[in-house]
Amino acid sequence: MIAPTEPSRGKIIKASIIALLAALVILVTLVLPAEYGVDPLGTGKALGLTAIADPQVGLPAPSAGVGMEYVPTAQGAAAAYAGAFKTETTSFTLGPYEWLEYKYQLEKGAGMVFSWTADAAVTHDFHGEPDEKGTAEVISFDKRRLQASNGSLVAPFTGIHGWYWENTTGQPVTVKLSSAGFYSGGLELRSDRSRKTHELTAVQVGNP
Amino acid sequence: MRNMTCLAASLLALSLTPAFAHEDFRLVGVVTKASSTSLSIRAKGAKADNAVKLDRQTAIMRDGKKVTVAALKEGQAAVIDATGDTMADLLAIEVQIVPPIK
Repeated sequence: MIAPTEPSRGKIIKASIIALLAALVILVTLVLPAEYGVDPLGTGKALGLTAIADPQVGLPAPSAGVGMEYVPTAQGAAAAYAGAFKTETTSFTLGPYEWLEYKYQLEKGAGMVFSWTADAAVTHDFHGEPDEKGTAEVISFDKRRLQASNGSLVAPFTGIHGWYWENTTGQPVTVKLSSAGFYSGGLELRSDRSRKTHELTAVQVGNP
Repeated sequence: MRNMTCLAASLLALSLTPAFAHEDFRLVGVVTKASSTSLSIRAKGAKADNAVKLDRQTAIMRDGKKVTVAALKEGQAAVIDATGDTMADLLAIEVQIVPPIK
């Protein structure tokens, strides 16, 4: 029986060097791009490994086209829009026993925030009406006597969403409203059956 | 140009939308004439009266309580909620007798 011979010192050194070089190549071409996004040779990008180190997360592209600026495209809790949001600060004076409705046009899923105050408590109904009759019921979100309110809304359907305020006293009452949202316009309706549209301007922040 | 077109379209759509969650006409003013079947009221600053019809379903209210049509008197301040297609053809749903309006 012949006893196995141990490799020579030279062969061990040579094998170690080869292994070290192989490890170095794997480190530079595969591990660094995938784990740290470091890609000195471009192999990570070619093999699609840099995406592992820096995964991209994005919202779906906003809706495009005329009239689509305020249609949200949503993913989980976030939504994207093609147009910038609008803001409005305005006031309404209700004569004795008068009522008015003020509503914003919102697409389904579009959001807005608001605050309003009045000189005196008013009968109040914060509600929404669908554009297409029969697609949904008119919903009252908050219906009670109030003198102020702060809130937000994500529109449950495409339609007009806003407030009915009624002055139940013999003195004029002024209601002041501030809002911001992805609405396309505002509509004011009064108890004398007059109606007025409010032109609203989007905030200017430059193009992304 | 596209933004202007979009804005114009939105405003046009809003102006055509029925949009009244509360369909009644509301008249506020002073009673000028009252009978069991009709009521005339003149709003502050108005040059002419508005007349509304009354029927058996019309609720006449004062201080939150129902009263009879006989309680309506010339010179009283009143708030009328009425229904109809036009101001010339109104039927009162509810008439509230209220304190004098300054």
